[in-house]
Amino acid sequence: MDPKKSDVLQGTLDLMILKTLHGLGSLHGFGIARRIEQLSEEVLQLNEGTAYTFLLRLQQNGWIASEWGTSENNRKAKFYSITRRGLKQLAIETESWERISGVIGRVLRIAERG
Amino acid sequence: MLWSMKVLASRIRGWVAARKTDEEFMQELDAHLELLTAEYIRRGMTTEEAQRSARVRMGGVTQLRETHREVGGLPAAENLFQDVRYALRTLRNRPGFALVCILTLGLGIGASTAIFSVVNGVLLRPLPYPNSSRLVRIEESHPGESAANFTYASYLDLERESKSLENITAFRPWSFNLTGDGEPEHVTGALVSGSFFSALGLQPLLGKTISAEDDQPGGDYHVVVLSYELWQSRFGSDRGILGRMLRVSAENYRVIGVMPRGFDYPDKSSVWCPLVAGGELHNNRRSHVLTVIADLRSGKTLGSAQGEMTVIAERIEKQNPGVDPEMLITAVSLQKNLVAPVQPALLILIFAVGLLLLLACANLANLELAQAAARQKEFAIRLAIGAGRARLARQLLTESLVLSSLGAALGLGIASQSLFLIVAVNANDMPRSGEISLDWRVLGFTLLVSLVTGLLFGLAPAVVGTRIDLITSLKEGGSVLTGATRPGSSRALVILQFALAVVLLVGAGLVANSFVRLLQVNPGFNPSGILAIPLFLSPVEYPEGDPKGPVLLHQLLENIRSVPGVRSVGLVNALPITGGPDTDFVIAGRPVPPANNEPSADIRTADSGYFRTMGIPLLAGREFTESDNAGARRVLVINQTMAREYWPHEDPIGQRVTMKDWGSPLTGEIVGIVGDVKTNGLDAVVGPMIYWPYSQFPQLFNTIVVRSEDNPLRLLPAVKSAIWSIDKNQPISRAETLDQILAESLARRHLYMVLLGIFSSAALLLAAVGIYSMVSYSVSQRTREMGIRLAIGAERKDVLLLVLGQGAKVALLGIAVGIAAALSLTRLMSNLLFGVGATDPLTFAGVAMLLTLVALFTSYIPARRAMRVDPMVALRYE
Repeated sequence: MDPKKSDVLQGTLDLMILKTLHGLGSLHGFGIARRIEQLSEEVLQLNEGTAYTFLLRLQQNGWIASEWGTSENNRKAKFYSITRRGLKQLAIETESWERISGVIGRVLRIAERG
Repeated sequence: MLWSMKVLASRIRGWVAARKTDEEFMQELDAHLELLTAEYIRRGMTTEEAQRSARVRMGGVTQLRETHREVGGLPAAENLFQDVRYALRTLRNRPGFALVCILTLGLGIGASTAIFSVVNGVLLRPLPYPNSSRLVRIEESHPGESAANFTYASYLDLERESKSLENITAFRPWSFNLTGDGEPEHVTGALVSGSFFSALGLQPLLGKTISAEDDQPGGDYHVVVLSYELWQSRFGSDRGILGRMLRVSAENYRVIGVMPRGFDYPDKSSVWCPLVAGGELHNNRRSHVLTVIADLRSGKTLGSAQGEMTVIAERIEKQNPGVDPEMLITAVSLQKNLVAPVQPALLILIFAVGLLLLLACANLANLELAQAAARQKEFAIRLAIGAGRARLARQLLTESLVLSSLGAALGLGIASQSLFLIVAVNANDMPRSGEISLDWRVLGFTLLVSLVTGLLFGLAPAVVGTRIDLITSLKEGGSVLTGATRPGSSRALVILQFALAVVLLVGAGLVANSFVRLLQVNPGFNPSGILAIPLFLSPVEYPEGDPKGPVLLHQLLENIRSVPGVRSVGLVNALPITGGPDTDFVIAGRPVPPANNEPSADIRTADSGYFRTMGIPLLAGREFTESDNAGARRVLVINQTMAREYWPHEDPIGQRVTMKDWGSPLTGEIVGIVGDVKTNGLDAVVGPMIYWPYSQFPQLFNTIVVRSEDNPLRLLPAVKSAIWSIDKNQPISRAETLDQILAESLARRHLYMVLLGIFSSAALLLAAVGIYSMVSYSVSQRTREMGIRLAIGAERKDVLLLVLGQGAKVALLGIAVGIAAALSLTRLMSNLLFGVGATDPLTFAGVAMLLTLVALFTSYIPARRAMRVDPMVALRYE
């Protein structure tokens, strides 16, 4: 595997999907994948089929909802949007992510200074 | 918690709607693919390139679907269904194997379920009375003797004094002649004291039961309660029966109630009347004729009740010195008391059937092992293409579970059929036999057994089968299964099978041996060609002490004697084999023995024709004659045992004996000695016996014996009309031949013998199959070795002996283990045996020989195959 393109941790991808849906409203799977790719500047290149497993799981948890709609090319597609519970979860995960990344950042800085 | 419930709910929804979800998911993926392709084309790829890149980017569609299904549905359930489907398919491909497995299991489970049903109905399930947990039986006994019934006086003492018991009730099994509606009918029932039904806690179906005001002397005690079955059969379930007057033993009784269906305590009763103690019985402390049951008061234990009983017994003895010395009162649970006679045998049967089931499991494990070996390549391929070992093990377990479920279904069918048979054969003999049925508990037991069996025999191959070395097994001709695992475990299983078969065969052999010996026992009379007709004289028409009874009996005997085909006729109060009354006695002119150590003897009344009709030999003196009537000098005939025990060196004839227990003491002079008859069954020791002339000691219960020229049952209609021409109200519903009575007395033993015989034959068959499959498997594995041996000069005979020796070694080891086990186990069944010791060397040797022969014979078949191996073919083999 390409070393620059890290294997996306499950929790991270959950967070990214939720954040994307929070920012852009209703999106289909393709749109979500494009958006994440774009935002991560192609560093995170996911196996796009896998995203659907994540979507299904998020849906089972009640964090996102889905409904059938029509895509840009006039095909039937499923559109996902964040739910109220999803918003709460997003807040929790954002907070914990920031805390962890803060800690890790500090650790790395200390390590650099030796 | 709530959360995970939600996920589960969504998963179940997803699983139920699996097909739809799957379709939708495919649509979603298609849409995604199209958009991605469009995107790539926009970036400048050709259509083909774009399509390919899009697919790569998406990942494998099949795999995606699989993951999606796993996350979205219930993968475990889905895998289970898949496994079950697969298992059924593989079993269909191996019909022989499947059939043997299902039959083996069906037999094992069927037999164990049937026996467990009997044990459950008889031993485990509480008595079907509301007060069952508190019901106790109270018995009077004497040291060194088995427990006995109560006297009426002690019962009254107990009822007055006991603080730990309530609803203390006494009853006496009794016979009733029902006349008036249709043919006269002889029914059994009980005379019960007023608290009988409240002790059991039972309510009637119709009307009311007998209560405290019904059992007072001088009161209106002519009331009767009917069983549901009698109400149905004799009165057509007429709801207007209440208040009707019935002729019961020549008196009018008013029907006050009908009991619910199935209630027949005690001893298949169908009529209950009040027990009214007049004169003689009321103050009697000698005649032990009553059964006493009671409820423990709430909060009282059996132990505390027993303590109180001991105190009461001591007080009774102190107040009535010398009447019934060393009397003890014991309290036991009614249920235990009721089933005590069959408990040991039932436990032995369930043990035997457990062994059989174990044997069946061993056989299945062995079959599965062979199968696992044969299917190793299949496993290897599946492992190679990515199945997990756990998944593979689960698949194997599923297969065994499918097999055992099928076996269980078959077993349940076998069980219900054989249960029907057991109950039908044994109905009269087994306490609580009406309560035996397949119920939820039995069903649960079957399911558990089949599950455990499935796991037991599925586990071995699952462990061994998944421990394969991929590379070797995939290579052509690679030796199957690692090292010696398979032959080793298989040998152990066959040893186990032979050991189990030895135990079962020895047990069955001992019981069968006992049975044969019982059949050879001389009963002391000649049973063939004799018809026995029990008669019950109503105490109202023929009060005790009134000569009317003997006069009627005399007329009946004369009338029957003139029926064509009748060779001779006799009368007795109780037939041999079936037990009867006994009494303490005193010999005139000898020192009076201490009151607690008086000799006792069985007591019978007979007429002048009884001994001749039964074929009981006269050894000395004379038989009774017609002139030994009520007005004549009182005379006695004794049996050989009594003569030998009490007059070993003198002539008993002319001696005088006094009988103590039946009303005022009666004294008579011994005029004759007759041969012993088996009094209480062929397997019981004969004690002293005294016969009185029937007209000098009249009885209410009598049996007429008729010896015929040929088949005695053919005489029955003529005998019936001979009796009815004198007394048209005399029921003759229970006539039987003495051969039938003898057979009935052996029915229980016969059933045990048949059941153990079936189990042990099945065990023998299973052991034979076990050793056959072991030896033939090993022969097929060693074909090449045999080829080499033959090629370098071994005789065919040597090969034959080699294979036979292998089978024999395993069999002998198993037999040795089995004999060691049987030696310690058969001791537990000594009370089922008669005339043979629990370690009877002949039985043991016979079983060992039989099993050795079976082992040699079953090994011989594959051995012959090994002997005929063509060395050239064998060496090229593999």
